[in-house]
Amino acid sequence: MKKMKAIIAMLATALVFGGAMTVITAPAGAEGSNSALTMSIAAVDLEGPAISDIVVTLKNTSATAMSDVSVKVTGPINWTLYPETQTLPAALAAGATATVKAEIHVPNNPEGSLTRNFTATATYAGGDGVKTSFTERNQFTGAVPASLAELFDNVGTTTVAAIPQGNYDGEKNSFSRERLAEKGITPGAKVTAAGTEFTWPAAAAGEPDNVSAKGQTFTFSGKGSKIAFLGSGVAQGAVGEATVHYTDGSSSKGTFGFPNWGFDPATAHGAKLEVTTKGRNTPAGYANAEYDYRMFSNTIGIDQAKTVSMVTLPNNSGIHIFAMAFVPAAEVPPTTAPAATAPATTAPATTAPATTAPATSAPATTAPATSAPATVDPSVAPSAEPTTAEPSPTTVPSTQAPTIPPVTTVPTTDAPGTGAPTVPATTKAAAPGSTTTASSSTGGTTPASQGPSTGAGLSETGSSSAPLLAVAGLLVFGGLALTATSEVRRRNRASHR
Amino acid sequence: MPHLSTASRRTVLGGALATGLLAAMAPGSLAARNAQARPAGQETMIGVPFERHETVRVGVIGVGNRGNSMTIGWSAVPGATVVAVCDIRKDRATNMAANLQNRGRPRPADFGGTADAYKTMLNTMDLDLVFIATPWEFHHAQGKAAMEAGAHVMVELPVATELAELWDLVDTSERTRKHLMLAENCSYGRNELAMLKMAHEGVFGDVTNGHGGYLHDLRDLLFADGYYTDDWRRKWHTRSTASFYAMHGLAPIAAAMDINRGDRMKTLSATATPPKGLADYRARKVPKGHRSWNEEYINGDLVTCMIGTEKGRIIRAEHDVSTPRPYSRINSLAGSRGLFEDYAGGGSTGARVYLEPEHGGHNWADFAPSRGKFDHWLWRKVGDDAAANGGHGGMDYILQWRTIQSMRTGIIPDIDVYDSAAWCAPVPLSVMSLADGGRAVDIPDFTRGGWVRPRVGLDSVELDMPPVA
Repeated sequence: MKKMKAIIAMLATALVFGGAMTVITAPAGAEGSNSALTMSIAAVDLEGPAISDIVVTLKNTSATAMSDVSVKVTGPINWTLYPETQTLPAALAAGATATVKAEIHVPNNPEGSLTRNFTATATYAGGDGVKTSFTERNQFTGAVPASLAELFDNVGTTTVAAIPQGNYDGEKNSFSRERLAEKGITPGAKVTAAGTEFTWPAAAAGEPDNVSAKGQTFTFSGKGSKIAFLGSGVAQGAVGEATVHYTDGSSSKGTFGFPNWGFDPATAHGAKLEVTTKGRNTPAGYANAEYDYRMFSNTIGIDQAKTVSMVTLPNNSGIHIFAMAFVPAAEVPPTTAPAATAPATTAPATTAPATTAPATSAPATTAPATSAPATVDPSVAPSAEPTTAEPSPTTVPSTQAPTIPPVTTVPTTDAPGTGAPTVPATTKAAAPGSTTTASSSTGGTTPASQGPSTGAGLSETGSSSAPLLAVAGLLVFGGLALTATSEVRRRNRASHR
Repeated sequence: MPHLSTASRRTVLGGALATGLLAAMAPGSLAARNAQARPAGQETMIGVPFERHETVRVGVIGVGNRGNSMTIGWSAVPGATVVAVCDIRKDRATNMAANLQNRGRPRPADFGGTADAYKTMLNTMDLDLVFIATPWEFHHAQGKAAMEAGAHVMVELPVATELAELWDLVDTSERTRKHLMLAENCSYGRNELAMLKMAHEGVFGDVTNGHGGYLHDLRDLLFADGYYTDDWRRKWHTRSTASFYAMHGLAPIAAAMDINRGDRMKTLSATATPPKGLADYRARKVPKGHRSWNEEYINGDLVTCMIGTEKGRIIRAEHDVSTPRPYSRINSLAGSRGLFEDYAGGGSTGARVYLEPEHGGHNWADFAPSRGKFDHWLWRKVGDDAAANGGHGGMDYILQWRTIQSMRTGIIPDIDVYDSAAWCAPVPLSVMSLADGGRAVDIPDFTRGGWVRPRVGLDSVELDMPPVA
């Protein structure tokens, strides 16, 4: 039934967008751009193999002319394009528009959902003096998977009986389902972390239960202040940039990552340790019980005034994602500074809370956040090509360097009101040989330590007096923990991916 | 029809090398030729489709080793009819005509007996496509004559061995509005076409380098009496040091890099190892007194060309037919996100890949899943027929089928005269570079500026063969 629903959702998405090729346009221009040279990229015909046009329209909205206007166009990597850069033959008068066109070789699209990104970067003199402008357009080919679960391509957790199917790290090792169950992590369980509630995959033992991030795009509908990810890393450097697509056609980006499941500092890449289990399943059976194997959460900020329609995962297969959820928009009093996670280019943090969850600042450990369910709503389809000429840029352009401006990257620190800062996991990582840690397995500090239960809270902090405890913990454990962690890291890295 | 001049094989053999050397010693004249504007009355052949043919009438010049199998292949393609065959040895042509008749095909007219017999065929027959499979030294003259006689032409490797000849074929094609295509069957290899599609999709990231070649131990055949008529191929190794035949490996890499379709080959520098292989083989295996003992081999065993492109990519093209080794066309492509290597052993495809983000840990992955995902429509549609009707694993028939389909449907050929000239240019250019201590020499832009624009080539739109009435 679930699979049928997903299929129907996918078909509905495909039908809305005209059959086999799903094309969702992004409004032209750079949202929030402070350049008076506004730009838009027209829809690119992606029916390949063929040579298609990339048409960029420029408009000088300043009061004075712009000269030496040069436009550089890019398409998907290695798609032959000509010309890459063009200069307008004459100055662009105030209020005037111009068009540049490039040809691009569109290949024969392979199966599957693919994101095609086109950008235009302009430099100019005069006008408003900003000197640079940027716009991008995302289009998609193929039917967009209806949920994260449809992307699952890795068996990351196994029971002892299902060990042969496991291959979380490429060396046929996997998390132990039995150990996870002791922390309340069971198929379909509600998991509270990162200020929201996740639904742990319901996959049966031996079936794929997580996705290795390779730039896939899938339907993920809802609203909130952030998108939270629950997962872990393989090898090192499991970090990358995700793209969030909104129903109005705009998009934003955010970088997140996970530490390696067996080593790396638990806060690497801005992650937060959520689950620590002992040992793992290996081809030889359950083993390495003296080591910790960990799950983390991480978040990226999103525009809470907008409705998310899809997410493109980072292009880094070391990132393994088991679940995702929206973090409800936090209610910020008018006198309070906007939440640090709110995208600077969009509505202020005092916007209305997420439509599906009450904005709450309760610590995750005490009250599971009623986060937006990650259900698929095929009716939440982006609108057709915007009819207004006013562009809606997706990124903040640089005001100085005549290069593509830095994308808006929302920091993944905890939002105010979600509790005390987490005690750095290095202070809690197991000292060599230690069987007790400040993780949930010791009991007492977190609900999860009390045995399997639904709605397991996974925060390591526990209480509102955590800041003092955290500092104390740092002072007491800092030196030892750093040494211990290094030792553990050296030991583990040799045998881990 | 114009009277075509007579040329003996000896004259042609002697003249070809001399012409090349003269060109090599006159860089100014070469540069001038390369910079020459398109002559009046000529227009580019880029983007020019074939006129539609209900049935393609094929004439074949040369039915020896290569021509024999390919003639049978042409006759098996729906909508193609071999109407004429020609060979300097008349009995071969007659035998081929009978062979086709025995296979249930219409018996073609047969010509031959003299070096100029092909001219009689061109002058008397109405041909839509001429296929040339004669020794290399005749390719230019015969290819040119066929276009001037009103036929499109497909020529075995290389289409010519001199730069002036390559330019002449380009100009002739533009002037006569007839296509000249290199019979590069390896461009239609299953691995090669999948690699091409993956490159275009961006699977390898920004492609930066490619490697190809023709590494084929031909020593047994080179010294075998009667295999190469009058030992024509072995004698090339006594005349010059050059990369004679690297096109089989170069062409697929060039296609994957969109050479002449957004990039172009710009410079070439060559190296050559000492010529040891053929002499050593002769000493061990060829009886004294054999005519080959009168020969001195000067072509380096391994001739390597490093080609730089306008976009800064590099292509390494190797040629070695003189030393013992398993067959390889190398066929490797790499970029910022991964690479493909053919002839790597193991797996059903013989190739391997390493692609981000899927692969890691310094472990190669089997190419089979990627090839399945990026399998070219030609192999999905014609692959079974190809295996039954063509050599070289089916590549030959795929080439022939696609060529006839293109002519019958009236579309642009996958391979044009500019591709053909560019892929064969390393033959004379390697001579020039080696004569100058391996210094880089310029590769002509045979497109005269047309290379900058992207255009579809071998990664084509799927199409059905028109039914045969």
